[in-house]
Amino acid sequence: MSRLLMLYVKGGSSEPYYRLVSVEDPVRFLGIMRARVLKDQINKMDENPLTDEAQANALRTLKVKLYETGYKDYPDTDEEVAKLYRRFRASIS
Amino acid sequence: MPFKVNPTMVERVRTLWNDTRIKKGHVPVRLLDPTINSPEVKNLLQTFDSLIVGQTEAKQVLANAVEAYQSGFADPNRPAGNVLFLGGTGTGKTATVEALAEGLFGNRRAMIKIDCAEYQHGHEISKLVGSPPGYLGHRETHPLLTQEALEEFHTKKLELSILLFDEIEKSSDTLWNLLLGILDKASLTLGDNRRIDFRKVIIVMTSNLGSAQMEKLATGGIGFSAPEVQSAILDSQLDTIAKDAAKRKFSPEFFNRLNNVTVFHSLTEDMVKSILDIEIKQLWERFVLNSKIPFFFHVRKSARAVILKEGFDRVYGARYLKRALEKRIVTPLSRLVASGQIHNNASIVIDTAPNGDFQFYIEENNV
Repeated sequence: MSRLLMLYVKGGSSEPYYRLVSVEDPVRFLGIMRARVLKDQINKMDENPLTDEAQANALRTLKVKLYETGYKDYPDTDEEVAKLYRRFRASIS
Repeated sequence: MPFKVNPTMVERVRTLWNDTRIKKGHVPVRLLDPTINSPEVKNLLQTFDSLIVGQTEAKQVLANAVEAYQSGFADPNRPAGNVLFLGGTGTGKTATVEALAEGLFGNRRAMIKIDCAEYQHGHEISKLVGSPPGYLGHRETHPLLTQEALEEFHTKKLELSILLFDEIEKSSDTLWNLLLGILDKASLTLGDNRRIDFRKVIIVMTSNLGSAQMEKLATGGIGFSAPEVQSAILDSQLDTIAKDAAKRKFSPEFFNRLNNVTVFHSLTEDMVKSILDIEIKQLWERFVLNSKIPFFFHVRKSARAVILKEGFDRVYGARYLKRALEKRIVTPLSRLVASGQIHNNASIVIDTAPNGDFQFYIEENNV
């Protein structure tokens, strides 16, 4: 049974972001997300090579986290979605 | 800290105490639980549950075969397992075997799949075993079934192969005769006299036999009973139809060599809803891992309802679900990516408009 979680990603090649995601197996989900973030980082390194230290630092500072929302499915109304984002914007930042 | 007594444990201790085998003076014994699965089979069952909805009997049959093989209790002179899956189209027969490969080897293609419709004529069997010496092209016809091919996916931990004969009723009876030896002695002689050992192989055959009658029964209606009762009666009748059709089609010596014949049950609407969830999850993994621009998407209930309506049919099961997903979600999303409307890590919401058309929104909620 999947549930709605808030994903927070900080580090990697993009700006920090958070997204609502439907997840059944959080461990598998986090594994996939980490793989994707690292893949992007490696692709970026072709253009801007990083030193070993910078690579190690990038790995150390990478944050991929999931937070409970209390919802099972994506909300039916846009207001509820906005409320959820507001709630997490306040608590995460 | 207060001490809490667990009533179940008290009952268990009382049972053990009253058991004459552990009374004073007897050899101490420990109660065993034959229902506990090995860690590998537990993982396999979890994979089954995450990929296949319902069809509990089929999942258990395959898990039992794997467990028997792992513990060394499988018949040493026969294949590790053999099973015939019967059932209407779109009920998940082939998908269950793919889930077995995924659960055992982490790759749903880690098996040899033989599409039996390619063996409709007797002479085509040479594609499987190679041509016998003396025939033109004997050396050029490489057999599909070889020991190396069977062992391709073996690992140090698990030396087991999966051999799938898909839609076996469509092949010539020459193939069934060939299978007699494999099912009975776990060996096969190729055209060049090499012998293949099938003792480490789980052989699965699938068939749609009786599907025409099943279709008639499913669409004809069987009275005005409650839906769950109707479904149970229907499943039992479909079971009989499929097994009778298989008995009529295959020779008694072939049918007798099968360890297990399992009929796949027709899918209910709730089951198809769960299948849709699985398909959407797999779609997301496909996008996030393979797309040049990874993104997230949500399909709202109204949009799911439309896909279910288009993708589910009582007769064809979930066969058209993927097609409906491709048409309604994959094609428009790939167009949105190609036209540059979706950026990296975007979150897309898929909804329906009042006129029933699908609409795609992008959330703008970066931190």
